[in-house]
Amino acid sequence: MTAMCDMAFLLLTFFILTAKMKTPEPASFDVPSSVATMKLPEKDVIRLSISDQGGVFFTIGDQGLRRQIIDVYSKTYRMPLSDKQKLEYELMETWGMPSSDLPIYLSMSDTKKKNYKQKGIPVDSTNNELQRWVAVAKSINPDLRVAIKGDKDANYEHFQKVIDAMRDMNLLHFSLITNLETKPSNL
Amino acid sequence: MAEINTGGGGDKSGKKRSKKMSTKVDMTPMVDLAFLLITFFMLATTLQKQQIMQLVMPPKINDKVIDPPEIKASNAITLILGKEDKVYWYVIQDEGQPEFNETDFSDIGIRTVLLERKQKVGDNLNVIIKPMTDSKYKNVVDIIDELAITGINRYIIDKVTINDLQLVAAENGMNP
Repeated sequence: MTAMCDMAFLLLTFFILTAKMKTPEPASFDVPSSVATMKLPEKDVIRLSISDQGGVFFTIGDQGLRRQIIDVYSKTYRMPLSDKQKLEYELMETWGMPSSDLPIYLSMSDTKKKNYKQKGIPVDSTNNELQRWVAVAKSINPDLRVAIKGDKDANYEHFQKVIDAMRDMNLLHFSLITNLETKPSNL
Repeated sequence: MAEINTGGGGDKSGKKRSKKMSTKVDMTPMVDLAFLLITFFMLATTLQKQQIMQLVMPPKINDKVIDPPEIKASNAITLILGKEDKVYWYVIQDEGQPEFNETDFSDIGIRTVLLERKQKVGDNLNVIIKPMTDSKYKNVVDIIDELAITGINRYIIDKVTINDLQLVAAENGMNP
């Protein structure tokens, strides 16, 4: 009994420590499935998520990098932010809104933030903020790779806009995030 | 005072037995809970692993381009992804009007078409994927996946031309 109990707790500790808490995301992204088996690297990834409504969301997993990004971005594009707002940004893993809304959102209370509907980062040819954010991130860490997490039902044109924006910046390698599907056995 | 002086009398055994009994604790509920949590964390962690599919796009064409490599028209197959999970495909032959066909994403649909072409043309087969703007992102992933399954490595994602859209419209007009 004691031995089993020890084992159980050892495993429990292991799984608790290795588990990564899932942070709440501003929109749901139901990814398509494929037979690809490559794993998504945990480090050096910019994740661009496309919701079924076509909103584009920006994810950086590393908190330190997020801090650097907001510092550089607010300086380069003259977006004055207080230290408190920058801290709020630092704690945000995934977000998507025009940068004109960002300072207001960052000073909102938690309950107000929950009710705020994030629309996505603009990717239009006249106002391509996505390119700015990716350029800032790449300037801090050139090793960053672009992963795209698209919702199944997102229209292709939204995906094309994102891809075209990245191609303009000469980023040509993409990792499309998919769920695992078993390969058909008759081939 | 008398208890301290005695070395090891039989009269002490009664006290010891009562202490031992109190050390036994029923661990069953704790272990149950531990296993329940293990199961939860095991499932929660394995579900989060995500797979990626690599996609490489050609660079944007600007002034200082190197000529794009030319391919034989009959070695290429063009797939147009339409709305409602439809796939249209055609092969430009050396002579005559290309035949325009409609199929779907099932095993007997696009996969057979691709396998057939691959058998005919061999490894030189080039696939041109043209998703229409109202096709879904899922369709694009599915078609790249289908190419991975059939073992076709040469493909490109391109934009639909007006000509393609007209062909699709004509196809839909003929069989509504």
